[in-house]
Amino acid sequence: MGREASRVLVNGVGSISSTTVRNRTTTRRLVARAATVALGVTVPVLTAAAPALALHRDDGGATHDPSLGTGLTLLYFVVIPLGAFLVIAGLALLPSALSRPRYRPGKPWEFGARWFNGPQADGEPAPASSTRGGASAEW
Amino acid sequence: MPSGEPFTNQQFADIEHVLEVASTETGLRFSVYVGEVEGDMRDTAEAMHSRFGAAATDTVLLVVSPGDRFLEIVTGEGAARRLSDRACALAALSMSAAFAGGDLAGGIVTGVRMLAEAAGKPI
Repeated sequence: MGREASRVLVNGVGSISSTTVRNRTTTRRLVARAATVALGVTVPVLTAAAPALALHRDDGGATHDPSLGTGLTLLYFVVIPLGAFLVIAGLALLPSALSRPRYRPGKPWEFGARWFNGPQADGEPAPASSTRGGASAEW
Repeated sequence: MPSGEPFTNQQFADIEHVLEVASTETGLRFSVYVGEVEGDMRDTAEAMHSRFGAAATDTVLLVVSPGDRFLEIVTGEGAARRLSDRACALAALSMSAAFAGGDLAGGIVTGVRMLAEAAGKPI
Protein backbone atom coordinates (compact mmCIF):
# COMPACT_ATOMS: atom_id res chain seq x y z
CA MET A 1 0.00 0.00 0.00
CA GLY A 2 1.16 3.41 -0.86
CA ARG A 3 1.82 6.07 1.69
CA GLU A 4 -0.92 8.09 0.11
CA ALA A 5 -3.51 5.35 0.60
CA SER A 6 -2.65 4.92 4.24
CA ARG A 7 -2.89 8.61 4.72
CA VAL A 8 -6.28 8.45 3.14
CA LEU A 9 -7.29 5.69 5.54
CA VAL A 10 -6.01 7.63 8.52
CA ASN A 11 -7.47 10.95 7.57
CA GLY A 12 -10.62 9.60 6.01
CA VAL A 13 -10.86 12.19 3.27
CA GLY A 14 -7.71 13.58 1.71
CA SER A 15 -6.91 15.37 -1.43
CA ILE A 16 -7.82 12.29 -3.48
CA SER A 17 -11.39 11.86 -4.63
CA SER A 18 -13.65 9.54 -2.59
CA THR A 19 -14.13 6.94 -5.39
CA THR A 20 -10.37 6.35 -5.57
CA VAL A 21 -10.25 5.87 -1.83
CA ARG A 22 -13.03 3.30 -1.99
CA ASN A 23 -11.26 1.39 -4.77
CA ARG A 24 -8.01 1.25 -2.86
CA THR A 25 -9.69 0.08 0.32
CA THR A 26 -11.40 -2.75 -1.57
CA THR A 27 -8.12 -3.84 -3.15
CA ARG A 28 -6.41 -3.80 0.25
CA ARG A 29 -9.14 -5.93 1.74
CA LEU A 30 -8.91 -8.45 -1.12
CA VAL A 31 -5.16 -8.78 -0.73
CA ALA A 32 -5.46 -9.28 3.03
CA ARG A 33 -8.07 -11.95 2.51
CA ALA A 34 -5.92 -13.78 -0.06
CA ALA A 35 -2.91 -13.70 2.25
CA THR A 36 -4.94 -15.06 5.15
CA VAL A 37 -6.31 -17.92 3.08
CA ALA A 38 -2.84 -18.77 1.72
CA LEU A 39 -1.34 -18.79 5.20
CA GLY A 40 -4.23 -20.76 6.63
CA VAL A 41 -3.79 -23.46 4.03
CA THR A 42 -0.01 -23.77 4.00
CA VAL A 43 0.93 -23.36 7.66
CA PRO A 44 -1.04 -26.32 9.07
CA VAL A 45 0.15 -28.57 6.25
CA LEU A 46 3.75 -27.61 6.78
CA THR A 47 3.42 -27.99 10.54
CA ALA A 48 1.96 -31.46 10.19
CA ALA A 49 4.62 -32.42 7.68
CA ALA A 50 7.46 -31.13 9.81
CA PRO A 51 8.79 -34.61 10.78
CA ALA A 52 9.22 -35.42 7.10
CA LEU A 53 11.58 -32.50 6.78
CA ALA A 54 13.73 -33.60 9.71
CA LEU A 55 17.43 -33.93 9.12
CA HIS A 56 17.79 -37.07 11.18
CA ARG A 57 15.01 -39.57 10.43
CA ASP A 58 13.61 -41.37 13.49
CA ASP A 59 11.52 -44.51 12.85
CA GLY A 60 10.21 -44.88 16.39
CA GLY A 61 13.39 -45.91 18.12
CA ALA A 62 12.76 -49.64 18.57
CA THR A 63 16.29 -50.58 19.31
CA HIS A 64 15.67 -53.45 21.77
CA ASP A 65 14.65 -57.02 21.09
CA PRO A 66 11.17 -56.88 19.48
CA SER A 67 10.13 -60.29 20.86
CA LEU A 68 7.87 -60.15 23.98
CA GLY A 69 8.88 -63.53 25.33
CA THR A 70 6.55 -66.38 26.30
CA GLY A 71 5.56 -65.02 29.67
CA LEU A 72 4.61 -61.55 28.48
CA THR A 73 2.87 -62.95 25.39
CA LEU A 74 0.74 -65.19 27.57
CA LEU A 75 0.04 -62.32 29.92
CA TYR A 76 -0.98 -59.87 27.21
CA PHE A 77 -2.92 -62.19 24.96
CA VAL A 78 -4.34 -64.83 27.29
CA VAL A 79 -4.39 -63.79 30.93
CA ILE A 80 -5.56 -60.19 30.51
CA PRO A 81 -8.33 -60.92 27.96
CA LEU A 82 -9.50 -63.88 30.02
CA GLY A 83 -9.47 -61.77 33.16
CA ALA A 84 -11.44 -59.01 31.44
CA PHE A 85 -13.94 -61.58 30.20
CA LEU A 86 -14.38 -63.05 33.65
CA VAL A 87 -14.79 -59.64 35.28
CA ILE A 88 -17.46 -58.59 32.78
CA ALA A 89 -19.25 -61.94 33.03
CA GLY A 90 -19.19 -61.66 36.81
CA LEU A 91 -20.61 -58.16 36.73
CA ALA A 92 -23.36 -59.31 34.38
CA LEU A 93 -24.33 -62.23 36.62
CA LEU A 94 -24.08 -60.28 39.87
CA PRO A 95 -27.62 -58.82 40.01
CA SER A 96 -29.38 -62.14 39.54
CA ALA A 97 -27.04 -63.85 41.98
CA LEU A 98 -27.79 -61.26 44.66
CA SER A 99 -31.55 -61.17 44.15
CA ARG A 100 -33.84 -63.46 46.06
CA PRO A 101 -35.24 -66.40 44.12
CA ARG A 102 -38.83 -65.60 43.28
CA TYR A 103 -41.79 -67.58 42.15
CA ARG A 104 -42.23 -68.05 38.42
CA PRO A 105 -45.33 -69.78 37.10
CA GLY A 106 -44.49 -73.17 35.65
CA LYS A 107 -41.29 -73.61 37.62
CA PRO A 108 -41.34 -76.26 40.36
CA TRP A 109 -41.95 -74.96 43.86
CA GLU A 110 -38.67 -75.28 45.72
CA PHE A 111 -39.54 -73.56 48.96
CA GLY A 112 -40.75 -74.91 52.24
CA ALA A 113 -44.41 -74.69 53.15
CA ARG A 114 -45.60 -71.70 55.09
CA TRP A 115 -48.83 -71.36 56.96
CA PHE A 116 -49.82 -67.83 57.85
CA ASN A 117 -52.15 -67.52 60.82
CA GLY A 118 -52.30 -71.30 61.02
CA PRO A 119 -54.05 -73.45 63.64
CA GLN A 120 -52.71 -73.95 67.14
CA ALA A 121 -51.01 -77.26 67.61
CA ASP A 122 -53.48 -78.42 70.27
CA GLY A 123 -56.61 -77.68 68.24
CA GLU A 124 -58.92 -80.68 68.11
CA PRO A 125 -60.33 -81.56 64.67
CA ALA A 126 -63.72 -80.10 63.85
CA PRO A 127 -66.60 -82.48 63.30
CA ALA A 128 -66.45 -83.90 59.81
CA SER A 129 -70.10 -83.05 59.20
CA SER A 130 -69.52 -79.30 59.28
CA THR A 131 -70.49 -77.99 55.86
CA ARG A 132 -67.96 -75.95 54.06
CA GLY A 133 -68.06 -73.65 51.10
CA GLY A 134 -65.32 -72.11 49.04
CA ALA A 135 -63.90 -71.95 45.59
CA SER A 136 -60.90 -73.05 43.64
CA ALA A 137 -58.90 -71.73 40.73
CA GLU A 138 -56.05 -72.73 38.49
CA TRP A 139 -53.49 -70.58 36.76
CA MET B 1 -37.26 -80.29 49.77
CA PRO B 2 -34.88 -77.36 49.81
CA SER B 3 -36.22 -74.76 52.18
CA GLY B 4 -36.04 -71.07 51.59
CA GLU B 5 -38.13 -68.01 51.69
CA PRO B 6 -40.22 -67.26 48.63
CA PHE B 7 -41.18 -63.91 50.13
CA THR B 8 -39.17 -60.85 51.00
CA ASN B 9 -39.49 -59.52 54.52
CA GLN B 10 -41.71 -56.76 53.21
CA GLN B 11 -44.03 -59.22 51.44
CA PHE B 12 -44.10 -61.38 54.53
CA ALA B 13 -45.09 -58.40 56.64
CA ASP B 14 -47.71 -57.35 54.08
CA ILE B 15 -49.39 -60.76 54.16
CA GLU B 16 -49.40 -60.92 57.95
CA HIS B 17 -50.75 -57.40 58.12
CA VAL B 18 -53.58 -57.99 55.68
CA LEU B 19 -54.55 -61.19 57.51
CA GLU B 20 -54.64 -59.34 60.80
CA VAL B 21 -56.67 -56.48 59.36
CA ALA B 22 -59.10 -58.88 57.67
CA SER B 23 -59.57 -60.88 60.86
CA THR B 24 -60.17 -57.73 62.90
CA GLU B 25 -62.57 -56.21 60.40
CA THR B 26 -64.71 -59.26 59.81
CA GLY B 27 -64.41 -61.24 63.02
CA LEU B 28 -63.56 -64.28 60.90
CA ARG B 29 -60.24 -66.03 61.04
CA PHE B 30 -58.26 -65.76 57.82
CA SER B 31 -55.43 -68.16 57.22
CA VAL B 32 -53.16 -68.71 54.24
CA TYR B 33 -51.15 -71.81 53.47
CA VAL B 34 -48.52 -71.60 50.75
CA GLY B 35 -46.67 -74.72 49.76
CA GLU B 36 -46.79 -78.19 48.36
CA VAL B 37 -50.06 -80.07 48.74
CA GLU B 38 -50.15 -83.84 48.47
CA GLY B 39 -53.14 -85.78 47.27
CA ASP B 40 -56.46 -84.31 46.24
CA MET B 41 -56.42 -80.57 46.63
CA ARG B 42 -59.94 -80.15 47.97
CA ASP B 43 -59.67 -83.06 50.42
CA THR B 44 -56.34 -81.91 51.74
CA ALA B 45 -57.56 -78.33 52.06
CA GLU B 46 -60.64 -79.48 54.01
CA ALA B 47 -58.49 -81.66 56.24
CA MET B 48 -56.26 -78.67 56.92
CA HIS B 49 -59.33 -76.57 57.62
CA SER B 50 -60.61 -79.03 60.19
CA ARG B 51 -57.33 -78.69 62.09
CA PHE B 52 -58.60 -75.36 63.35
CA GLY B 53 -60.85 -77.34 65.67
CA ALA B 54 -63.65 -75.39 67.27
CA ALA B 55 -62.61 -72.24 65.45
CA ALA B 56 -62.94 -73.95 62.05
CA THR B 57 -66.51 -72.78 61.54
CA ASP B 58 -65.48 -69.14 61.42
CA THR B 59 -62.26 -69.77 59.55
CA VAL B 60 -61.47 -68.94 55.94
CA LEU B 61 -58.51 -70.94 54.72
CA LEU B 62 -56.68 -70.17 51.51
CA VAL B 63 -54.51 -73.00 50.27
CA VAL B 64 -52.09 -72.00 47.54
CA SER B 65 -50.00 -74.65 45.83
CA PRO B 66 -47.65 -72.81 43.47
CA GLY B 67 -46.13 -76.07 42.28
CA ASP B 68 -49.51 -77.40 41.12
CA ARG B 69 -50.67 -73.91 40.10
CA PHE B 70 -53.82 -74.49 42.05
CA LEU B 71 -55.52 -72.63 44.84
CA GLU B 72 -58.38 -73.56 47.07
CA ILE B 73 -60.49 -71.42 49.36
CA VAL B 74 -62.28 -73.26 52.17
CA THR B 75 -64.87 -71.53 54.32
CA GLY B 76 -66.23 -72.96 57.53
CA GLU B 77 -69.93 -73.25 58.27
CA GLY B 78 -70.17 -69.88 59.98
CA ALA B 79 -67.91 -68.14 57.52
CA ALA B 80 -69.80 -69.56 54.54
CA ARG B 81 -72.96 -67.80 55.72
CA ARG B 82 -71.31 -64.44 55.25
CA LEU B 83 -69.02 -65.36 52.41
CA SER B 84 -70.81 -66.80 49.42
CA ASP B 85 -69.09 -69.24 47.10
CA ARG B 86 -69.56 -66.65 44.41
CA ALA B 87 -67.51 -64.11 46.34
CA CYS B 88 -64.87 -66.76 46.98
CA ALA B 89 -64.74 -67.59 43.26
CA LEU B 90 -64.25 -63.93 42.44
CA ALA B 91 -61.39 -63.66 44.92
CA ALA B 92 -59.89 -66.91 43.60
CA LEU B 93 -60.04 -65.59 40.06
CA SER B 94 -58.32 -62.38 41.05
CA MET B 95 -55.63 -64.28 42.96
CA SER B 96 -54.96 -66.71 40.14
CA ALA B 97 -54.53 -63.78 37.76
CA ALA B 98 -51.86 -62.31 40.02
CA PHE B 99 -50.19 -65.69 40.50
CA ALA B 100 -50.06 -66.26 36.76
CA GLY B 101 -48.08 -63.04 36.56
CA GLY B 102 -45.63 -64.34 39.17
CA ASP B 103 -46.89 -62.07 41.93
CA LEU B 104 -47.47 -64.53 44.75
CA ALA B 105 -47.57 -62.11 47.67
CA GLY B 106 -49.59 -59.52 45.79
CA GLY B 107 -52.19 -62.12 44.83
CA ILE B 108 -52.55 -63.32 48.40
CA VAL B 109 -52.94 -59.79 49.72
CA THR B 110 -55.53 -58.95 47.07
CA GLY B 111 -57.47 -62.16 47.65
CA VAL B 112 -57.64 -61.75 51.41
CA ARG B 113 -58.68 -58.13 51.01
CA MET B 114 -61.47 -59.08 48.61
CA LEU B 115 -62.71 -61.86 50.87
CA ALA B 116 -62.73 -59.54 53.87
CA GLU B 117 -64.63 -56.92 51.92
CA ALA B 118 -67.19 -59.50 50.79
CA ALA B 119 -67.63 -60.82 54.32
CA GLY B 120 -68.23 -57.34 55.69
CA LYS B 121 -68.41 -56.36 59.33
CA PRO B 122 -69.50 -58.83 62.03
CA ILE B 123 -73.23 -58.74 62.75
